[in-house]
Amino acid sequence: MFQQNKHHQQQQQQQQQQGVVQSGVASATVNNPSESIVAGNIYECSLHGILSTPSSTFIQRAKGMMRCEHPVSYKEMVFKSTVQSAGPSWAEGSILPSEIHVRYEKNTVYVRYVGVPQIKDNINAMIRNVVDIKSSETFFIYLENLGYVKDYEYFVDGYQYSTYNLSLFLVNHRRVLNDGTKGELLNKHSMVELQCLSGEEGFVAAAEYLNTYAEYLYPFVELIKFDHRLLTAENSNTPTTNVNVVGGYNR
Amino acid sequence: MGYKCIFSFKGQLPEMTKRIEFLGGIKVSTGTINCSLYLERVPDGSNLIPREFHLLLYDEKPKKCFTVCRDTIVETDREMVSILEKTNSYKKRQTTEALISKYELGDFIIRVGPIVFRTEIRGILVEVEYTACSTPVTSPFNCTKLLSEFINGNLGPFPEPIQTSFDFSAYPTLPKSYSDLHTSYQYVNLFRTIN
Repeated sequence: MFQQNKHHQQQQQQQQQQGVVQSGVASATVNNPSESIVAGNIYECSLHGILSTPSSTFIQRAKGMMRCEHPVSYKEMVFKSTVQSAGPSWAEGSILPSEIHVRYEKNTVYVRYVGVPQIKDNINAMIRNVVDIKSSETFFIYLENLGYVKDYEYFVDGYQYSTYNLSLFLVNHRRVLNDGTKGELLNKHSMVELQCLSGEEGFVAAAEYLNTYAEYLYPFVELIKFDHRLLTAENSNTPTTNVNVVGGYNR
Repeated sequence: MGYKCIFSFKGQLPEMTKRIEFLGGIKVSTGTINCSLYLERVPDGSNLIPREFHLLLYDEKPKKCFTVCRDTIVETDREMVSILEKTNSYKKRQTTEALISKYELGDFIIRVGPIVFRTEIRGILVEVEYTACSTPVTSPFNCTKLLSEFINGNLGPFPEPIQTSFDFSAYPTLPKSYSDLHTSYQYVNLFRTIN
């Protein structure tokens, strides 16, 4: 999921090499347009869970922990590249590839590059390199021209709660019908996602932040490993929770 | 924004700048326009024709970039460059740069400077913008005659008269009103012809 609190971008740029970055759009500054701007890497650290109790109780807890809340409602499309990468042939299919996530919200197109997950010792959180941009509506055509194909899509409705450096999402996913409108719920339970942005050196601090907050949410939320691609499993007539429940917070 | 006419010619830059200053043009800033060609990485020995696109960066718009791919143009945040580098599926092949000076002259804004490709000057870029046609009364596309008179009468003579109208019909995704997207198409077409 994207975050778009643009107020904090300058502090992000100062902090991104040191540690945890405030929730906001991952951004890089450019002085010379011809130079590479990959230097300022920002990583999204996230923990996923399913809500196992009534949402009203959970919302009270979330409001007590967080500074502000606002509703989120958007359609998200995930594109994958058909361009042959330079990776070894034996690794094909075994590595989750980088993706381009396109979110259409309030007539604005938000684009996020999501890199391959980082494997880090003693860190539960999913860590992926991200770059966020805003674009014009023709971006879909441009992506297809570049050789990207739509992998899957879904609607998201719910709430985002945020503090200085962490965001909590309480959302439901809905199937996209053939005519592009919202279909039925894709999972029985609401999804919970804790998320913060981190610099190159901030993984451990970010994971600790997430785990601390996750402990506050126990026992309302069950920690899971969650793959959004399962949301679009074909031939599923009844809404199901397409998740692998790990259980507990001490994985 | 007003309608723009963009062209290049083989000539001397000092002559052009003197002419603009003689007309009363005031130099307000300098900057660059950078156009890069990206080609798809295809496996060695493959018969596939690589996809390509052009990426435009303007100093005057430091947070934006414009990407032209086939008949589509997209305006995105500058970090798009970072995404392209990270996906590693396209490689930058060549870059053309125009080192421009911006002059204000009444209702006109003139940008002029050398076009550099591989350290070699390939011509002089001239962009003339008529700002008065950004008012709702006149359509930006209707001021080509006035631009033609101004360019050919005041900035010339040129070996051949400069055409101020541009055919955008091949680009169906463009908005109805003239915008930076139209300008970017004009630049890409110009840079294609001089390389």
